[in-house]
Amino acid sequence: MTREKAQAAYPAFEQVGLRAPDDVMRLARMGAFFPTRLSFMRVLMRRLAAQRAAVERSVWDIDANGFGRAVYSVTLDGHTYSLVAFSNELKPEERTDRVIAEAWDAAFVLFDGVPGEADLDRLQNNAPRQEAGRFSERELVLSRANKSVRLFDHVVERLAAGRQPDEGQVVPIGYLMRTTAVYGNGKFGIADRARIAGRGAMRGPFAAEMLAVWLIRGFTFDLVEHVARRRAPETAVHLDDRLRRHLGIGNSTGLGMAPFLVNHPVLLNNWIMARETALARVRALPGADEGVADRLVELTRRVSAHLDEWWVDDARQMARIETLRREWEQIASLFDIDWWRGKRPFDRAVEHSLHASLECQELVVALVLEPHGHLIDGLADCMDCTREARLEPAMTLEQLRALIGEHCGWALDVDFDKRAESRRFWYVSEEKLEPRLGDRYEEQGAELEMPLDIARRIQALDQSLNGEENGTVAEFLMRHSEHRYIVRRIQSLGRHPYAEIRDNLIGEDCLPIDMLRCKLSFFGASRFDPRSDRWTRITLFGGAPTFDDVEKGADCDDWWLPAFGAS
Amino acid sequence: MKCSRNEIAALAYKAALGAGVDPGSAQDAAAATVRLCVENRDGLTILLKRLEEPEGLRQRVAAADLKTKREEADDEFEKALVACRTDEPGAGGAIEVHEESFASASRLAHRIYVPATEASRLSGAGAGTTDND
Repeated sequence: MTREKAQAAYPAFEQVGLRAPDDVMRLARMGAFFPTRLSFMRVLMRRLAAQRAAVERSVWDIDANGFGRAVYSVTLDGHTYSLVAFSNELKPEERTDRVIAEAWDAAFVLFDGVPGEADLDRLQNNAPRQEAGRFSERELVLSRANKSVRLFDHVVERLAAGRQPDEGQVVPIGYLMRTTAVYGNGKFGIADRARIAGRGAMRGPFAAEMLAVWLIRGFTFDLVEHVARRRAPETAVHLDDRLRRHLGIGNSTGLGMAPFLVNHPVLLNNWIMARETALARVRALPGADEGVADRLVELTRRVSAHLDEWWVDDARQMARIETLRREWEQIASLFDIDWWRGKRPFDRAVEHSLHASLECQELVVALVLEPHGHLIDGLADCMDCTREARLEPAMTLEQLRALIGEHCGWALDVDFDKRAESRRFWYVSEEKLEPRLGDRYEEQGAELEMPLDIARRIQALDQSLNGEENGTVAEFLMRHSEHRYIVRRIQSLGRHPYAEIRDNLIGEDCLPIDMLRCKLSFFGASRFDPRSDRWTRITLFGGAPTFDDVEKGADCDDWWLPAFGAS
Repeated sequence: MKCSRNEIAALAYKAALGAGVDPGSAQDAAAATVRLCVENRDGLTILLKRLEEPEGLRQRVAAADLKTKREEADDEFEKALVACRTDEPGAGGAIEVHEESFASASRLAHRIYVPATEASRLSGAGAGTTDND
């Protein structure tokens, strides 16, 4: 490609400097992230919309009580994907605390292609068993879900009686079913991500998982209407479009997800780098394009409505929301149409927000990205990662020391003489086979801890490097294999500066919920509802386009921070 | 039994940790195991043999750092280690694994799991609040 052609194909965008990793990669800030137009659900929905993807319900073998099986198929880039749904009766005594739950209202599989009868029978035996089941590479995603019994029954009752459900119940709950884990990438014998990673719409991170959840959402609408109709065929009505759009899929997410960010450093970097690059491009704009100022005023108003609908039981998060509401009120009056029509309005908005809380700062970031799809949506193609970093054996210790100096000050500053700084340890629970967090001084098992003690490992390496002559990393690791893990991580920071969470993950003050929120914001989740400092409820696809919207070519890209009151 | 690559990688990594290998070397050993499987070798069984001498495995991983071509490697495990650094694995689907090796590796992996206690259940991820509504 000639230089001219390359420039035409890949136009260079002006950008300001990226925000420093030492600021961005702190837990407190990561725990304040909001979804953006680069979040994976948004990206998937744009790709579905671009293809006007039609969802076909090819099997509906559901009885009057809503139990049985169903299949939904959708074709993208020439590949058909099918959601297989199994809806089971769950006795009240089986409906219990999720930690020990073994039975579920529904189990789901995203199947590569269109399943035949034999596939369906095989999956019917295995899907409800999830971890205990065995799957094949035709299966892409597994999940299971429970109903929000309260809301599901209410909606059935109302629809059967020919009435719409009470908004006062639909809006705060926000979903008819909530999933637990949504498994992908090879779990329990299902397909590796590599099988689908090269296929158009599936190439983004978690695209298959997000597609499965969106299809599950459509299934819950069909299910609730079906049960209502079978109960009262004469009087039953459809669920109102506006309510339907509001409803998403709930999800409970716990500690299992937190180590993922540490175990995939380059992937984490790519997510953050894409978003930070997007922000740097927008901040560099000298002024707002036609229509953008009006749009931002409208979005600012929608955010206010969204915040008003965000209520949680968690005292810490509720206090943050209340602060944010106050700050947003001030922002909304300051960031008026004239602000956005001024010079460098986006850069000034971000600068101005630095006086406010981290939640508010990150919300302003997401806001200014929203109307600039043409400038930043292409960055979504840079958010996956085919391979984590390889060791560079030929690197000199001098170069390694320089990387530590440049990127690891945060780790060297932790005072591990203080017991509090190493109070926690991450481990895999024998009972759940899931990551857990223990107290080193109160609980057994610290000798089996997972290597999430990044800061401590950096310090240990730094000490070992003291007094080393200059040589290569390979020679050093020959004598010090215990540092191999951390050396590889540090080596990657030169090219992947956002790869590391720059906080002590075993300190007493580490809140796993911050890691969860970071990850979930990249999924596109909103209405974070922490249930402790270790797990959170969220809603996925709340406010998102429905099957009909996508097929009919409705605007499928305007559902950032949706608010029922503003819809 | 058929396994995904990711499943084998995760199992091999945990088995290596369970055998006492440091996490950095365990990552490379896991990648090499998958590479062997992709190239139609019995990767998991080969790994298990290596894990009988964790120190030897660790040295082998370090020795592979000094080699830039497969041909320089001393054995198939080292070849796989070098290959993981120098080229990309081919495409391919599920991998056939000996159930016996899978079970042995799982037993090793099991050594890194921490048994639950009443305290850990109470402070677990979803503890304290039910998830019904």
